[in-house]
Amino acid sequence: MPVFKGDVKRTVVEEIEEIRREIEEMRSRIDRIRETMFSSLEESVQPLYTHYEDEKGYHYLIDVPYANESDVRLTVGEGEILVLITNKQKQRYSLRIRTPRAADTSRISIKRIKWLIHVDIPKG
Amino acid sequence: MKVTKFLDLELLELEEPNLRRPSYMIVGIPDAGLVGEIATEYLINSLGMREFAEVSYPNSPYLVQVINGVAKSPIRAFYSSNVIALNSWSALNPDLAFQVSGLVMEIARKYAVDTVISITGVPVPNRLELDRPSAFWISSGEDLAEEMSKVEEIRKFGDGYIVGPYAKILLDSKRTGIRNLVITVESLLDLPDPEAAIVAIEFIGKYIGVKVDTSKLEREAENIRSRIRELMEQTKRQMPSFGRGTTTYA
Repeated sequence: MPVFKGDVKRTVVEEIEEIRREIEEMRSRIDRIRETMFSSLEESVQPLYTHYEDEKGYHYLIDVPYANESDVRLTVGEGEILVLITNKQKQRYSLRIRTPRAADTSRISIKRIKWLIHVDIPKG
Repeated sequence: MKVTKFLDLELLELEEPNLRRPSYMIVGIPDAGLVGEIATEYLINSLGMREFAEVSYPNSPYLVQVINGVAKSPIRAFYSSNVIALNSWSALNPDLAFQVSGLVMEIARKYAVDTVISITGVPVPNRLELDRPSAFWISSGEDLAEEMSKVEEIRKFGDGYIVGPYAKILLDSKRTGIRNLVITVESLLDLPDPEAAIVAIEFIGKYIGVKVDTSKLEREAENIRSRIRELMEQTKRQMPSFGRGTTTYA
């Protein structure tokens, strides 16, 4: 099918406009998440936790009553991993973890072992 | 109320229990996994024990526990037919722990207790991989050790160390002739471990000859952990001052 110069121009302009709209949407979504995160942090308490390191990675055991792994939200930020937990009683807990140097933050896993939330940060 | 002074402490007794023989005194001082505290509190409640004394420490920073609007010392003693239980709902600094463990032997001597039973946790790195943590015994003397070696469900601790208040009770018991049995269960170090407490309760129930249903503790474990969060925080802060951050280690 023949394509004329004018049509190409219009298509590109429309695509750019669409990308701009998507960026705007993403930006406002990030703002909303950030707002929620900060308000969660303000109302939250630090949970009981312990941590250890082995050859595989860094392991955080967090004790939040009435919570399981689906109640955990994890945010990887600049040099910091933020763990937010809202338990079944709507109590909020937050734990800031300084990202270890050797951590591979793309493979963080969360699971519940017995009554504890286990955040596992593998080494890269 | 009868007030007895012991070092900087005061034992405030509302009544003087008359215990049947053989008699036992269970001691719960917050340390590894809060095993002793959780187990002793549960035994107090499930055996319907009656409060008879409070331990006051006027020279130390004040902390008062409020129960149903009534102020109480966080260290209190209870009794039932042949058992006394002394439990601390507050972490003890080394000086206070030293004095409280001395007072334990004074109470045991006063009420002619046959065996003092201390409950604690021994932190193990693979704790979360264990379906059921193991319990171990430590004895103050040869006769009790021989008696315990015949018990199947609990093993001898073997070689290791015990530091902090339970060590003092062990040594004092040698001096006073009152038997001391330490029950230590594999546990977490700095997180509450109700599962380890259940193991301790089940053994102690059999040892002292009472039936204790631990299903309520299993059901209410989430609530208990929620309630004792602050106690665990306090205990974590105090534990390093006893030595290596734990009271029993192999």
